[in-house]
Amino acid sequence: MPAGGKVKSARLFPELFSHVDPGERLRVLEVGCAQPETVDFFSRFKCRLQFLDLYASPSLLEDQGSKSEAELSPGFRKALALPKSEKYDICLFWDVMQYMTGPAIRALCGALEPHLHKRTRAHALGVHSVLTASDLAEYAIVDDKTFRLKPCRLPGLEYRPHPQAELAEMLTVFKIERAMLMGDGTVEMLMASKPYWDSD
Amino acid sequence: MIGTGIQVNGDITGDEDLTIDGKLEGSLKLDSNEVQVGKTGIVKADVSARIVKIDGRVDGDIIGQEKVVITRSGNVRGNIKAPRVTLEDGAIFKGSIDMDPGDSAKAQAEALAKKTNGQSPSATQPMKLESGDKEAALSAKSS
Repeated sequence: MPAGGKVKSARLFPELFSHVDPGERLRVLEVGCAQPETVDFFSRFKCRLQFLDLYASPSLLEDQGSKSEAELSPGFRKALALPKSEKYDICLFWDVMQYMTGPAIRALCGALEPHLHKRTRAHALGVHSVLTASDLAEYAIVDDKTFRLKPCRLPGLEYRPHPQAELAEMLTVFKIERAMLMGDGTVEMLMASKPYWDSD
Repeated sequence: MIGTGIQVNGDITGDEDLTIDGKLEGSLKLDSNEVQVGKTGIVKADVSARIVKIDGRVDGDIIGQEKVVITRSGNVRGNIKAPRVTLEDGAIFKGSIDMDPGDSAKAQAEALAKKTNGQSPSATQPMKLESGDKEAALSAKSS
């Protein structure tokens, strides 16, 4: 059982691992802060766990308001700073897209594109309705069906919820495979890399 | 031990455990031993040891032959490679972690993969919104 704090159940998260070959090194990109529970969860895998902590780059998210995708792209590429040859099997976004503008989401997708492959899967949390309230949080994986929410270090970030249809258009490199509406009005989304999906 | 008032610039190798409460710039290689970076320790170096425990600050890549532990006061910027890595609540880490837990933990990963295998939707399935529970289904209908 989780030791305390707000917890959230997951229904689709376990499916991220349906294509995982335990004999192969799993490459995971988490867009968030490194959390003890998450490191512990992935310690059962032979894996490379990369953290992209956008909350540690405040200017990137705080100054996104009126900027275009072209203006934001260099900042996301710099923040990612991923090895050119690195491809990820799993990308975890949590709810960060609910705090990003459309151009910022597209810029993030553009920066990620070289690091996706045919079987890359991704997980994100959205909202069913833009009226759904949300607490900006950092997420930790307690187990494959439970997340723990912790206070975010950038509490002042503007909440910019996107309806699912809009979000699907902003996600230029991912296709939403399945979406699950949860009891609190949030939506859990399972995604696949889009360029390869379209070519299959 | 490198005490709080000591600063070392250079490469350190050897076969003894080492505690660093001062400053080190260079490299540190004690593959059969334990390295502890104390709360006041500041290391700008790649570190390789059997066990690495960090209470202070490390800027550099870390290889732990057995394990790496970053405690609640630890702050690490770099890439870690070790069979086991522990991050305590409050620890700050920026970088990547390479883990290879060996056979026992791998069995757990296999169990998780088997549990979910074959349950994923086909690649041609259209996007759809499902409900996680009855309450959600009702709210979806009413919205």
